[in-house]
Amino acid sequence: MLRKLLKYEFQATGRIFLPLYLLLFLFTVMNKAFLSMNSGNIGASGLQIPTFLAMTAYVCIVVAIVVVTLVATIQRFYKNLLTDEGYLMFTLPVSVHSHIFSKLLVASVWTLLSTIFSILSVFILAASPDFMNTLSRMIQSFLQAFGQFGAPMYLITGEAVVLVLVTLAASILNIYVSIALGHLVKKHRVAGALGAYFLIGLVEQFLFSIFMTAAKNGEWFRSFENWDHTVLIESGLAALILVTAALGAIYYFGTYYILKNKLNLE
Amino acid sequence: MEPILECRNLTKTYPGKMALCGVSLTVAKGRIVGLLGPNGSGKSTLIKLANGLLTPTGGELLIGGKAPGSESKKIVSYLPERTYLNDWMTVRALVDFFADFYADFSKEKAYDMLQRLNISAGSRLKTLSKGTKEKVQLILVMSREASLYLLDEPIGGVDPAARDYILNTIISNYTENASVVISTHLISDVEKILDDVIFLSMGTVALTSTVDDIREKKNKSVDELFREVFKC
Repeated sequence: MLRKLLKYEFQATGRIFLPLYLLLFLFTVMNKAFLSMNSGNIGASGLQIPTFLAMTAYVCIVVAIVVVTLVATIQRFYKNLLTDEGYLMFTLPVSVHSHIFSKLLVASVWTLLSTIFSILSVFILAASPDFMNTLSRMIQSFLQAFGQFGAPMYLITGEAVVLVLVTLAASILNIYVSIALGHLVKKHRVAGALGAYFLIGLVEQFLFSIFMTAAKNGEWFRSFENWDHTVLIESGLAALILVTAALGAIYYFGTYYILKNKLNLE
Repeated sequence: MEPILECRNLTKTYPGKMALCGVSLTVAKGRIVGLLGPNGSGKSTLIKLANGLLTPTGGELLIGGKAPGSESKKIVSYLPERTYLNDWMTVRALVDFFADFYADFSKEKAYDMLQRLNISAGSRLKTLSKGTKEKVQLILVMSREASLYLLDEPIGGVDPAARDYILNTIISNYTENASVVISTHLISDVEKILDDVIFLSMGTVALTSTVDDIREKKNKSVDELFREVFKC
């Protein structure tokens, strides 16, 4: 059933994202063309206005992608599950786990794609011989580091990738649990969701500062002074992954519990 | 025989309002039951509870002996009182959606009914009138071979000609062991297909009876009895 949910979730979101990505591609190409035509003397070429318009449109599209990615993450969960559309979704013979997981997976994929495509597009626009030189030098020194440090470098890169993915999932689940908590407020559900989101942030901030103060006062940080730097980075990243994953798990099961036991569609 | 739907002391409150108050009732297999009552008497609340869209405040509700969940949803076909389908989908896409998720869905039946009501499968829901949307919803719901159909106001928004067709569809599509619960206040229209009636009044059961009993013992039609019980 999860596979089917994923299929429809991609269908429902793809019809928004794919045209946006296509627009991004078209305007990247267009701007690239203008930039290479003008190459320095915009005033002289008489292409001032089209160049300006194309650039403005391009910036708008990038902003739109960022906004739409966030709005779609919220809307697909809130609107599809907790408004009229929930009448359809929650009468399907599908477990609550599958509902949450399908939404989470699809939202993660679009967020990653939006990020990758936006960065790629900026790279294409910025690409010049100078830029390419710098880039290839950066990649070279990166590869050099791999050769020099070997296994630890692979581990750290792997950990960094995992951390990005876990953070992404946890942030999306943070939104979901806020919306689910808002659902418990009978009359002002959207306000409830916003309140829940800020409250969760506040509590996390509070716990984090307590932890930092305690660690500082308890001279806990000192105990790491003699550690090898690579090991320190490795363990630090691992600890971050674990903490983020634990937070994500709390959000997930909070969302699950509410949707399973406290559902009250209007 | 185990009832398909059973409520035991079922209570549901909304902030400042009691929607259902200690409702106990059963729906046997193979019956067409009218869930009748004035506006705000708790009909929709009861049906939504049976679909797991609401959580009971007290008491319990069982579908085939189990609380609403993934298993009960496989055997319950539900028509909400509102339009709940995605506007941007075509009728054909919705048929595929239902066929994908419900093992008991018959595409053949659905297309047959769509054709009979002159609804083209290619049209997007957005472009259809409210009445046509309701017909599409009912066709999707009745194209399943479920054990229990819960129809909330199935004929409220459609014209009288389509009403007859829909009621015929309901009685000709359900199998011997399946039960149908129809909530409505258009009693005279549905009266002829009902086996039993449940009258709800302000969140409580005011009366349960077979239609035959009402006709024979009280010598009244359901519509007359309803007007008597709920006289303002």
